[in-house]
Amino acid sequence: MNTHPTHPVNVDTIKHLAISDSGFVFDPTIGKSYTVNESALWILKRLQQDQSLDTIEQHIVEEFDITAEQAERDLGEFFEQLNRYIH
Amino acid sequence: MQNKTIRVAITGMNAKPDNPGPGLAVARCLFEEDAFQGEIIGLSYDVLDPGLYLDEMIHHAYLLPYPSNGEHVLLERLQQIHSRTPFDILIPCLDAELVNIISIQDELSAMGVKVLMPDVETLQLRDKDRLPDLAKQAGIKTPEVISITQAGFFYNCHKEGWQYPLVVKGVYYDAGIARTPDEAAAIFRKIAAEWGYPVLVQRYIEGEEFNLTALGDGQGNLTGSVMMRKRAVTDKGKAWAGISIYDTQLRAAAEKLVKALDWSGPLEIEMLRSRQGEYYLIEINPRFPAWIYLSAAVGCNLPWALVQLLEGHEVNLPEPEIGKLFIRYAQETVISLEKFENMTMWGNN
Repeated sequence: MNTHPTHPVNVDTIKHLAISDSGFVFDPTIGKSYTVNESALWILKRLQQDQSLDTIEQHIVEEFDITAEQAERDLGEFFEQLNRYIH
Repeated sequence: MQNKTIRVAITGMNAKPDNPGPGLAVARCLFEEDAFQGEIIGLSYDVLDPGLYLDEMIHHAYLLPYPSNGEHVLLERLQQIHSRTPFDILIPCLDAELVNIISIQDELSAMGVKVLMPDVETLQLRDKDRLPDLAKQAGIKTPEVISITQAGFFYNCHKEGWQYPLVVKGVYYDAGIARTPDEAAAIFRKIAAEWGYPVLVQRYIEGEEFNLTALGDGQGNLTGSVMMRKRAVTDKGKAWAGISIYDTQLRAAAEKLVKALDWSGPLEIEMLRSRQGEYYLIEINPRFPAWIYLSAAVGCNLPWALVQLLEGHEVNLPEPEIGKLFIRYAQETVISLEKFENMTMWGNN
């Protein structure tokens, strides 16, 4: 595993999110709700469990059978998108 | 628990869908409270205000003289209503009537009517053109505001460091965002024609609006607070749908403001949250908001808490439930010609 993207989203903010298994996400601080796909839901739940980015990246490689580089890229894109909505 | 029969008079029974008064929502909070055993007296200014006819919730209804008639005419009418239908508590719900009601508080008290309101001086501290001073005192950010009386300002304001977009606001009601001098002048003329001078110009802050409603106990303490983010708005920017939230920063800002004002009674604080998460004070409304029913829905019934406070009871409100969504809808009430005639001719039902 090389350098992974440093996500700009506040982990405390993510921990406060109400995340449903259906992919419905509610931010109780600002009252916004979102729908996320299965992969995003998978990552958000692990972030809420305090898993490190290294561990999440490793899990992505194993779970989705992709390379570490691809996982790193996907995570980077995910955080970029997440930061547009949650901050 | 409250066992005594309490009669509560509530103003603001107007309910136009794009900008409803808070009175009906306040009445609903009391009407649906199990511990409330009493009667609700609806007071309003226009014969077509629907709350005057909703018999299932509003037990008695009366028309009031418009605020421009002054406090003496208002007092006379309230005395007349009180002699016919006595009431113990008055909850004013409209900005324009507050100064008159504050002015007759002693007379109301002599009639046995309780109200919880600030004094006129405190009320004026939250006037839109004085917000910057108040915000500074409370340690809260707010956009710069100036009063103007000439639309010509908008064509030269860049020389004084005012950039577009700008917010153009009435002293009491109405506001619009202007992106050009012509747009600003048009909003200025519309507001001036309807609400008079001066008109306020406020620096535009990009962000999302958040609202908090609560009660001030007059000693600098906040009793209960319910926070809401608008999810849909009417053409006038009023909440059409909203969701209950909880933000410690917003709550802390409200506590500072209530402390700075030693506020008595209901209030609504409107703030903008920038993308950086900073809150800016936009407005303080000296009454319950039209969305106050959300407070009952989240288990923190503020109108009921107000009644309890006025009755001398201790109030312990739970933390409001977060994530409750309200969606407003319009509905017709149908009344007989006789009822309409009574209200038109005699000002009561």
